[in-house]
Formats: sequence, structure tokens, C-alpha cells
Amino acid sequence: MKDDDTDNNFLDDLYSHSAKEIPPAVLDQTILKHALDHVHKDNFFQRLQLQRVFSVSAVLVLSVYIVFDVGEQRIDVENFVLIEEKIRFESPAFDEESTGPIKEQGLKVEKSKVKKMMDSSAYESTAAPDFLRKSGLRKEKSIAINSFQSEKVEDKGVIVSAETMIEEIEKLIAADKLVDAKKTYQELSDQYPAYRVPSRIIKALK
Amino acid sequence: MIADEALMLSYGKGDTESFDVLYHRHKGALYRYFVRQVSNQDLAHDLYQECWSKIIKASATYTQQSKWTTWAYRIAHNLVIDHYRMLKPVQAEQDVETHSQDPGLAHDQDLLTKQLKHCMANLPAVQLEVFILSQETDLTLKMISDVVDASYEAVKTRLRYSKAALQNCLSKFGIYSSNNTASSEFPDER
Repeated sequence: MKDDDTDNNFLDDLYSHSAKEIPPAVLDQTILKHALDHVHKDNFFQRLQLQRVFSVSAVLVLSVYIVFDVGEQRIDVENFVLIEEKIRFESPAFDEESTGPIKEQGLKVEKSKVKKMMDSSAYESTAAPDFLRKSGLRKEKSIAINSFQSEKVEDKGVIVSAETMIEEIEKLIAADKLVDAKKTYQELSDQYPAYRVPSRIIKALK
Repeated sequence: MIADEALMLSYGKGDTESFDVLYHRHKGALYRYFVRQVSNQDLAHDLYQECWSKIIKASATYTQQSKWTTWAYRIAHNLVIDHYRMLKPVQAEQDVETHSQDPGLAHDQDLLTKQLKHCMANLPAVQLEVFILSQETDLTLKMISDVVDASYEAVKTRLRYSKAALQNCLSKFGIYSSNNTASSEFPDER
């Protein structure tokens, strides 16, 4: 960068001639190896996460299928018995007119199916907030625990915002829990390395 | 030449060769940023490694919100602040000659380097940081102000003072004069 206000090319030249230091080869290797390992680790966790998503969705689909499937069978069996009984008692001779009650019964079956479906969807809607509540709990827990657990939380896709973490740190400082506050600060600097932490927090933690 | 930001995004998607390119492009400047601000070399190495570690860790979530260099040096600045908040001007090197009587010595590149380092070591930390960033990176004053979390005017002043202080210090060694007579010693490599 050239500064318009100063005319000291000599200083720039002198600096560029003196700027010969480079990191040791060992340090280069360590960092490049770390970069390589990080990519592999990430891929592994991504695959793990995909597997988790697939298995959870498969379990959900299967459970919904089982609920519907079992329901239908039960209805069919009951319906079959009822239809047989009606055919026996109401219409000894099987003709076009005698199928009327069967059709009615069929409608009833359809209605009961719809009811069953509504019940299962109601089950799903009550199950969903429960799942969300659980994930919310994870999020809350992740704030005040060590960085290893924080990484795990990241892997699960729950990312706590920097502002939330700052609020948490301020609360911990106010509660005089400096150890926890430092841990949270460490997490913050790990997750958001370029984030500008207010100087009052850094001073409080020093 | 592929932009730093594109290389970082590519690495975030798993391309390690992009990281290699990015690393070799910036390793020298970033290394000197630490080495010249931190007197303890082991600590400088630790901070340098930690800085790259944070860059690697943040690669998955990196977004092209600002220039990569600004972002990376912001991380480096935070590390220096964290680990060396009470940074004082480092001690002058013991082996630096305090005054050069023989003008011929000024031609010795090693000696020039030592004398410059000696003068830089006497700069206040905030001025030293701005001077290093201005020399080692292609960041504008506005970007530097973003990195060091100071106003544009403050950065401009720090840079001016740092250069004036270095000129003053070097002139005591008989190296620097107001008409830059020694500037002809260096071929224009930059």
C-alpha cells in the first residue's frame, strides 16, 4: 500500500529488503496437515449427519406406514365380518340391489380411514414441537459448556449466534462466574474468530 | 490468479489444493505480522499456528462478506489482542550497533535489516501494527482501520507517526536522510 501523504520510498524499500522471514518448514507441514485432516474430519461428520437424517426420516416414514397399515387391516377385518353378516341377514340372494348396504359400509370405512389419518397427523403435529423442544434444550446447554461439546453442537447443525453468546458472557460476568464466562468466550472466539468482542468484556475477563 | 476469497470458498467445500495455494500466498506476510509484533519467537509461532487453525476451522462457515485478507488479519489482530494485550514495545536487540560511524556499513544489508528491526521494535504497538499491515498487505487504510478496529483518521495518523519515527531512528544510524540519499542502494523490486 502506498501512502499519498508520505514520500518515503526508501523506507518501503528498506522494509521489503528486510522482510525475509518465513515460517519454519515444520510449521508449514503442521498447518497443511491440519488443513487436510480438517477436510477429512468434516467429510466424515457430514456423512455421519446425513446417515442420521436418513435413519430418523426412515423411522418416521416407517412408523407412519405401520400406523396406517395396521389401521386399515383392522378396519378391513371388521368390515368384512359386518358385510358378511349383513349379506346373510338382509339379503339372502346376492343381486345388484343387495350391494347397497355394502356400498354404505364402504363409505363408513372410508370415513373411518380419514378419521384415522387425521388422528395420525395430529400425532405428528404434537410430536414435532417435542422434537424442537429437545433441540432447543441442546442449544441452551451448548452455551455454557466446553469447546468440544460446542463442536458437537455445530455438527448437529445448531449454531448459536455471536450476539447470544455475548449476552451469555455478560450474564455470567454479572453472576461472577468468570470461569464459565471464559469458557463461553473461548467458544465464541473459536466459532467466530473475526468477531469484534466489546472491550468491556475482554477487560472483565482479564 | 484466483482470488483469495474463491480459494477459501473452494477449500470450504473440501478442495485442499486451494488451501495450499492460499497458504503459500500469505504465509510470509502473516508470519512476519506476528514475529515483528511479538518479541518471543515461540509465542509468535504459537499465535501464527493458532491463526491458521482458526482460519481452517472457520472455512466451513466462511462467507465472502469482506476481503479475505481483511478477515484473516482481523483474526490475527484478535489473537494478538487476546494473548498480548499489554503489549509493550519489545526490547531492543542487544547486538544492534547504536551508531554507525562508517557510512560504508550502511551498505551491509544485514546491518540495515537489523537497524530497521531495532527501530521498529521501539515503535508503540499500535503504530507498529499499522506499519506492518501497510507494508505486508495490499490493504487500504480503510481496510486496515477495519482490521485494527480504529477510525480511518487514527490509522492514518498512526502510519504517519510510525514512518516519521522510523526515519528519525534510522537517521541516528546515519542511514536515512531527508533527501533519501540512500534509496539508490536498492533496486526497485516491489
